[in-house]
Amino acid sequence: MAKKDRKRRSVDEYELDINLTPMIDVVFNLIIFFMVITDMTQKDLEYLVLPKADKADVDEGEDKDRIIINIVNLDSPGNAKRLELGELDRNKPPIMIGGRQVEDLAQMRRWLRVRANPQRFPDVQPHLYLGQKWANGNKIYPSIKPLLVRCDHGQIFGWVQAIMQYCTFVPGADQATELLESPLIYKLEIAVKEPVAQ
Amino acid sequence: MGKRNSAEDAIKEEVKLELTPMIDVTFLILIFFMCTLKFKTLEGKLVSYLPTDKGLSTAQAAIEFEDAEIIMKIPQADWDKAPMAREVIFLKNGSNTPFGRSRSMIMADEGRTFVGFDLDPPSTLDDVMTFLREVRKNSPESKAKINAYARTPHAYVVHVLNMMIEAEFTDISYSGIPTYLIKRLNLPVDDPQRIK
Repeated sequence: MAKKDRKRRSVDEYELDINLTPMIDVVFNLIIFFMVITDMTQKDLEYLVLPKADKADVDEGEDKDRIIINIVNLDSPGNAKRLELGELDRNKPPIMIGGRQVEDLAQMRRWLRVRANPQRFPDVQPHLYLGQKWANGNKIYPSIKPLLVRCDHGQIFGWVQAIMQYCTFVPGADQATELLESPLIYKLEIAVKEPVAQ
Repeated sequence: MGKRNSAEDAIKEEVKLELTPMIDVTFLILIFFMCTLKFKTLEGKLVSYLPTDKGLSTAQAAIEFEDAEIIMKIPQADWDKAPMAREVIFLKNGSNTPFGRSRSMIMADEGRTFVGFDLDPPSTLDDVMTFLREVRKNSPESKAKINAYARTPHAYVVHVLNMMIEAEFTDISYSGIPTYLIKRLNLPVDDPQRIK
């Protein structure tokens, strides 16, 4: 009897312990790996078919500060589901900013103004000086941030044209208001397919 | 006696970390990062600078004789078609001198679609290229200008821009609707579809 008791106790005491330390090490390493390689600047890129241009520069995406605008093709098969779900609307411009479709071009311009923040860098690029003055005497400088326009190859050029105009122009406003409200973006990049090395 | 026993028990008791919730959370974070992972897509870009004197002058810069301007128009019959099914008419230097017409063609190749130029007459885009090269050769100071109507498919504009770069033009500009016209005529800038 006593012998049997002792045996049972020894089995109970023998706990099956998994050593979790190496697993946690590996998992943490994986997390750090994914955090490092996840490029958050890619979140603004919509899926679309870019036009081809073999004379283009390869885009390294070196400027983290740049502003990205997508012009999607609402008729492309990839967007049929999104139209159904209401993520995209045919009555609005096909312009996507940060994964969301803009309500109208005025909203796009306001958003660009905030992102471009043109008067913040007064001493950069003096050759782009506009020669205008604020009411308080401060000079106005254009934004140094580039704007990347990613337009689907089958979309009409009119939307790119509209964006170009809205970079510096406020419809129906006088010149002073225009300087206060327009994004003052002057560097424009048009995205194309990656040029094939020759 | 009993007191001393409990103190001994406290010493003997191991401090155990509750690892299960931490592992749960850690795995969730791991799965999140794995799902949001999007590999960097390499793209090309064409850099351009918009004019900095905008808003100061309302006069539209006239195209000089030695410069090259390519006008792209869509015939009215094609306005209701899908952009890539439209015919594009190429004109040069503000004139009505046509190069010819070009119709785009979407070819399926292993599931991918790309744009080709099915030309009628077949030499149309070659003519544009020859014209650009000639202008560039005749005067090294010459500028290039793209005058594309709003309904032109973006692929054509980029194609012409690419040809201008190939012809070694360094000063390339786009014409839009002059701002004074938008102000005066109250043109619907909010809707490029309505701009003819």
